[in-house]
Amino acid sequence: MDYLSRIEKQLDLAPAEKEQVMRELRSHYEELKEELVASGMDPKQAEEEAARRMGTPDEVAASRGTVPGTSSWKSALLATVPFIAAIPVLPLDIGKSVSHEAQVLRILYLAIYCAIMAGGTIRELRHDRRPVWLATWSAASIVCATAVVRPVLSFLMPGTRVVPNLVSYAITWTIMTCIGLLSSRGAPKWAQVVVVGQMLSLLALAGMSTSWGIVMPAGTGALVGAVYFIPGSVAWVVIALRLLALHRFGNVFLASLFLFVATASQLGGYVYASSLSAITRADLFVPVLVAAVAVILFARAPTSRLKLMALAAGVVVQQFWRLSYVYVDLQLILFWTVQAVESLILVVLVPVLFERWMRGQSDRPEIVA
Amino acid sequence: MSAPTELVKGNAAVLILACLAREPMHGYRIVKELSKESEGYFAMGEGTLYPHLHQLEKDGLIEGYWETTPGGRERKCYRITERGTSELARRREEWRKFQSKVNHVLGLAPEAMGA
Repeated sequence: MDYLSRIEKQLDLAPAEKEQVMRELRSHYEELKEELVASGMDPKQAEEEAARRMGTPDEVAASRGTVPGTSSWKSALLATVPFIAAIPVLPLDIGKSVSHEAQVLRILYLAIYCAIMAGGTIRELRHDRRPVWLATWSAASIVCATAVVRPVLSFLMPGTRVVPNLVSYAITWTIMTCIGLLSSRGAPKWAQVVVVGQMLSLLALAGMSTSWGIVMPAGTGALVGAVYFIPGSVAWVVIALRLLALHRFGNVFLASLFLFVATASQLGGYVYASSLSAITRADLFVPVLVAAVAVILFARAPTSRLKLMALAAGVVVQQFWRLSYVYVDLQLILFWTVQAVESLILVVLVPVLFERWMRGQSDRPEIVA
Repeated sequence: MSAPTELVKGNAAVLILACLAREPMHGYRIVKELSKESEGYFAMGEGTLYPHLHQLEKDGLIEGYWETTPGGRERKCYRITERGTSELARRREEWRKFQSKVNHVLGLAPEAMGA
């Protein structure tokens, strides 16, 4: 396969946009080759030298990731896989007794799901690539790694609640803290201290509000529940920015998508916590499908503004849907409203502010050698 | 010796605008101009220049158009827009101030009055 064909194969763009980019690259490559041949170089050597000066196909294709554009349908659909594949393990059996076999099957499915998401993520990270679907797969692998803990513990310790909850929280925040610290390698020490501090406060809040039987004043339980997501959110933001926004082939909008998956995954956690026994399939499927549609719209949107709008719309529609079946419960209305605001801040505001900060940094003349 | 890649990447936009402020150019010519003006210091993977051009185009700082050379090859040229000219002026002034202060601190040149 020749040099340009290899670039074209790796370019993750919609066909029309890809055609334009390849047209330009081809023109540059041909002109460079002609000049080298005119200077006396052998045609074969000129091809190699032109390819060397243009950059490897991996680098050229991956550098496109720094500019938000329309991804291919393949990438867009791959990005929805974490949501669609999660449907079989949505908690439809809240309040009902689950057979031993069903529990084992659920745990096995979660383990396989986690392995596939993590495997795909690690592969792309090792190849130093940042395709759009990496944002959803990487977030899903972290969510799944933490989500699999509770069913495993419930299976191993049937009939108990407090110990599995405590252990599950401890393992969850250990995983998140480790990933947060790994992601912030190379960042200033204070950033790492913030990650650890935030995760510790998450553990403290979670322990106090659920497992130790502390009675909350009426109306505040849900608010505390919503607030306690904030410390964990800091870790998610650090991971998203380090993994995706700050990478040479990434961009801040991929970080937005990562955070969208992180916030969308909170649905499952709350369902477990609230024991809504009257929950129906539609109550759980609709937010998942809304998330999948938002991801496709994000991937296919041509501009960064439209991408953010797609995610913001996904957050708002999901939360309205949840509000529609808990509208009689003031605590839950308050909870989901605070959640919606938190999610919008994470998904839209944090990346936008970070991008402005980054642009401000690159404007500073001291960056130039 | 050439500039570190990450530093060039962080300033590619202003370097491209400065080239296009002189006259419209296509991508290959921009790379050559940058290398020539900097005596080889600003070198980047030529294929990785295009995302910067496309971002500047999306931001409205430059505009692209296709043309056909006398030899029959088509190529995409870029020209700076009014918005791009203002942005370049802003960044030039920023750089001039910064350079003046650094030179003064390092004792390299007297600080210009009012800089």
